[in-house]
Amino acid sequence: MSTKDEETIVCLPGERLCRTEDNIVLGTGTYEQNGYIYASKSGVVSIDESGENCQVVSVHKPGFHLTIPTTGDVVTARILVTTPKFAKCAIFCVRNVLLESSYRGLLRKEDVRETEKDRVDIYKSFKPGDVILARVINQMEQSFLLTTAENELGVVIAYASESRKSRIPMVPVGWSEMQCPQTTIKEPRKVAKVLPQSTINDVK
Amino acid sequence: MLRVTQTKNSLLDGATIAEELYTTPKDCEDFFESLEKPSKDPLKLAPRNTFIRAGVLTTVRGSAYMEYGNTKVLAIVSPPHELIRASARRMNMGVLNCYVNFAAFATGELESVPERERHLGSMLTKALEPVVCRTEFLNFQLDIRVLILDDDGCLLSTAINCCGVALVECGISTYDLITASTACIYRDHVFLNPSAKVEEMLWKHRGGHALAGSDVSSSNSSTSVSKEHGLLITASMETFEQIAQCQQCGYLSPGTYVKLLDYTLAINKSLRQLVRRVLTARVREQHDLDLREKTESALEDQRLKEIIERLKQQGLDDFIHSNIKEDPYVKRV
Repeated sequence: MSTKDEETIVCLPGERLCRTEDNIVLGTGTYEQNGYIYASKSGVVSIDESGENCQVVSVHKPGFHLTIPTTGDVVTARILVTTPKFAKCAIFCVRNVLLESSYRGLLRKEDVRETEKDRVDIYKSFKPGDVILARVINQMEQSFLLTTAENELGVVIAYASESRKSRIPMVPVGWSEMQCPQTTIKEPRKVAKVLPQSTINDVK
Repeated sequence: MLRVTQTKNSLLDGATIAEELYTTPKDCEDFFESLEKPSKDPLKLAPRNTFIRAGVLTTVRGSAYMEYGNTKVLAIVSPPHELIRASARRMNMGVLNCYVNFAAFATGELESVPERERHLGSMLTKALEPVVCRTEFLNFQLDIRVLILDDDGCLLSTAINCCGVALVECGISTYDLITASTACIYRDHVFLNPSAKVEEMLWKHRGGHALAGSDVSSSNSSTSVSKEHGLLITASMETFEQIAQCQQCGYLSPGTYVKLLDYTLAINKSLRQLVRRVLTARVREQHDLDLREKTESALEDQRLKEIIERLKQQGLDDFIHSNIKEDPYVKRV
């Protein structure tokens, strides 16, 4: 069924990969039926060890990956519209993969931060045009439900409202304010704690 | 002269043929005689000369081109995008839309083309719905477009084959590979993979005309067997031996139905081998391309890293100052 060629196992949709067992988890590109695991995409099969005694069987298509945001992914989105109850945004990046067409995302007032959820003012947290990091909670009918209720999530890039022509990105000064370097105007935002590269130690 | 089409004469794929004013039974007979008639039970159950290529277009993610004898079909699949019509939402599955288009030069009868396109589109959707893992793209819709460049019979089955390959090429999860083929019977002769002329003949001679030339003198004693004429299209998936779509048109006895079904399933099997070969070769091709790109970008990274190292050693200050022109109006402290 599948051919071995220098350790790359190529498979096609509908090919039986292995039997279902307790310590085997389905990865991307596979489905289970009648106690066996079958492939659902054409590509290279990879069996990875994850955790203790746990093997993930997945099929990767070389080249292009069809990415759709799933629950738990950190996505990059741009705020389009703000209302007192929620903010609509356009998701253009999932994890580290740039999407070809943007998907709709919705950020509710209760999901902006962890504490004092109902006393949030959306206008003091986001403005249209900001680029935010958010996590996907759920997929509703029309759009993806997002949340920024973590320290590392929130506004990453924002431009000051006044100086629209020059478009200089604002610099964060604290948890809830950003300052424009040119005009020194401070504006309230829900700032994301994004660490600079130099302070992160590589895990060896 | 008035052309009156009273009854709706629709072909299997929705074409309508207006009654020709001057068709004599003799014309039909002549045509039938001129055809190369295979034996009653075909010995070789094989598809026509086929050419399939996956990944022919650069603009779209999934595309496939198929030549089945003289029939030429191009299929395009783009990644799922958000539902446009909110009313079409299903509770737990994505939506699949198929659009079929004939090229202007594809077929001779241009009148019947729009209806054929709609009909082919709806049947293609029905055939492909069981194959695609629709649970993976909830609240999204998948658009499949098919362009028919040359019509020489077996359009629906060629379109199904082509779309199956394009779906796999695009990276959309499918439960299995799907293959389809056509068989028809006319006056006890079984035609496999009928050409456009055979299909047209079948529809000119439906009803009583099938008897017209066979036995004029004893029209009362003609057996029901010789009245059989019909077309069968089957699309199947091998892994669990499922039939995705089975379309029948005409007048067949159950025995003939089963016989034609067996023929088409056998042709599907050999088509599947071909599709597997094509797709496996394509995966290897992409894999090699991928590896090559990875090595190239690794080399690029290496090169950049070396440059940065060299600059660090020299001292960044010198580098900056060597490249910046001095502003003559600023006093250098």
